[in-house]
Amino acid sequence: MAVSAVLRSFVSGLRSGLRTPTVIQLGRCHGTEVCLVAAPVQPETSHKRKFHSTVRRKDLMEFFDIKKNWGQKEVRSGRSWTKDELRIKSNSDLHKLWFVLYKEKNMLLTMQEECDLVAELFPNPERLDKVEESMVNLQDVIKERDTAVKLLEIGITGDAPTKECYSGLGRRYMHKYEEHLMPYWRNPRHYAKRYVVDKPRGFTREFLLRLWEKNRRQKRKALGFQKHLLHEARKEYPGHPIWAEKDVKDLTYEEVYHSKMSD
Amino acid sequence: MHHCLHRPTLLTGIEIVILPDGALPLPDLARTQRRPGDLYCCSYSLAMVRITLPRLDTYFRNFPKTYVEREKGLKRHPDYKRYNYRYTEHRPWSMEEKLENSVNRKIGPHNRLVHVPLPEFHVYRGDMVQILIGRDKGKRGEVVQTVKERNWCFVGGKNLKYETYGKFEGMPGKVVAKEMPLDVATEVALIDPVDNSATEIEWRYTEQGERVRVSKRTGRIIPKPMVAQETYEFKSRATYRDEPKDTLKKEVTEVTFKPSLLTFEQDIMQQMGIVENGKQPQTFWY
Repeated sequence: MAVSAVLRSFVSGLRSGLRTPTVIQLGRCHGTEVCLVAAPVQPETSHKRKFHSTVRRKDLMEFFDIKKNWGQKEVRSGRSWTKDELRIKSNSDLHKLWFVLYKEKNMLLTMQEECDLVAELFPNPERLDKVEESMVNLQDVIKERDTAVKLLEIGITGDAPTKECYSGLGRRYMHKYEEHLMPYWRNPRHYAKRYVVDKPRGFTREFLLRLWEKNRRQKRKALGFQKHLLHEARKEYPGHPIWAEKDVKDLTYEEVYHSKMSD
Repeated sequence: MHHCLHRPTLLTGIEIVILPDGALPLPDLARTQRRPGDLYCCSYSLAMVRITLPRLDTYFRNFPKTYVEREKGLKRHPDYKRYNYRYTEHRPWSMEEKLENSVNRKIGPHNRLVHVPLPEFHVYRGDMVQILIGRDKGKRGEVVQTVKERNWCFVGGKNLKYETYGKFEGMPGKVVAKEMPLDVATEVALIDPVDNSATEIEWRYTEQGERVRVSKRTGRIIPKPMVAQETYEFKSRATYRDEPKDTLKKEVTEVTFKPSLLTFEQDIMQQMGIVENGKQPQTFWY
């Protein structure tokens, strides 16, 4: 409903010749506005950059590596960006770097696909991991900054709240809240999920008791295996200095076996 | 595949093929990557030949961990997961490692390995060590590879195992020498530069705060070999040459961050001159 209303207003804006800027808000998730901006003819003083395009190339070959690297057995690259290096960079630098990394990742994935198609080796596949690591680090740094600002200004981190819920079989889990445009009483998909907030009782409780018993047995078995591993390790590495360490020295099989056993 | 082979060299009756760096693997293993120092199946007539080029343990230490973990195949779907993973002297992306730890290879609980890595490893690649056990007891050699997960070191040309491959009717086959692993804690000793004999070592600090290996008997520092610094990226950290896509060091270390009370989005919107005039619809959290 809301989206179609916004679209209608956009269409009407188009018909009216777009004298005023129309912002189409497509949704809002966790503080990130997904919006489409249709820039109308505006006075020159309002803003400087109207349109941005890549400088060097504009064709689809930007998805591919440079021709020099085609068919190479080895394409060298440096390491990924660390968090400490990203922390000293301004927001605009990070914003630019994100798109550099994004384009690089697209290029590598395209090359990987292309190498598979022509039955060739994709040289240095660890490059993909390096780019992804950099992107994860970059996002973490931005989140750190945003959290700090929000805590200072509003006093909250801005993360989605969670609530303790019980599933239909009585198992407990943490339900993470999501932001919706529709209220919950009009959302049939939400109703189909049937969140149970109360504690289990009756037959569900009986089922749970059996489940916990099974889990306990599994845990006991795993501990027995740990004991076996310790025994094997002691046999295999008799002169190992780890046995002389304080924590390991006093560890006996009985302790391993009975530790963490609540009942 | 023959175009990538050098001529075999004869060395004390053992035929060894030295491969150039980046030799091509077999076509059915298109996904696996080949690096210098990996064992190589060159052709069916030649059988398997071990390369005596230095096999490098720390060579790939700067590789992203996610890549190495993915190649180990421990986090795959249960149907394709590799259980009871064994660290070997081969890298996780090499063919030999994949054969050793293949999905079809079932290892029973009695054969399962327990990895108890040493808290700190005191033997590096390039160290001269004395062997304390086996046929080569008392002999010395250079460490060509270490495997930290198994507490192993390989001494070049020592502790060899000979295997005959490709023996057939009327065909003599090939004898191939393999270096067998030695336990670092018990089977190998470092050599004291003062009296040129095997010694135990101790970790101590110099006055400059540097952590060094010191001989227990004479108190002499045993320096760390330069070869141990070498990785896939550089021979030594000082001699690293920038790759074409590397960011310059000057640009990386430049501080451009200015603290402000704007979130990332607000800051970017302000810089780009994006003004949000639209009314935000009501949202519901559940």
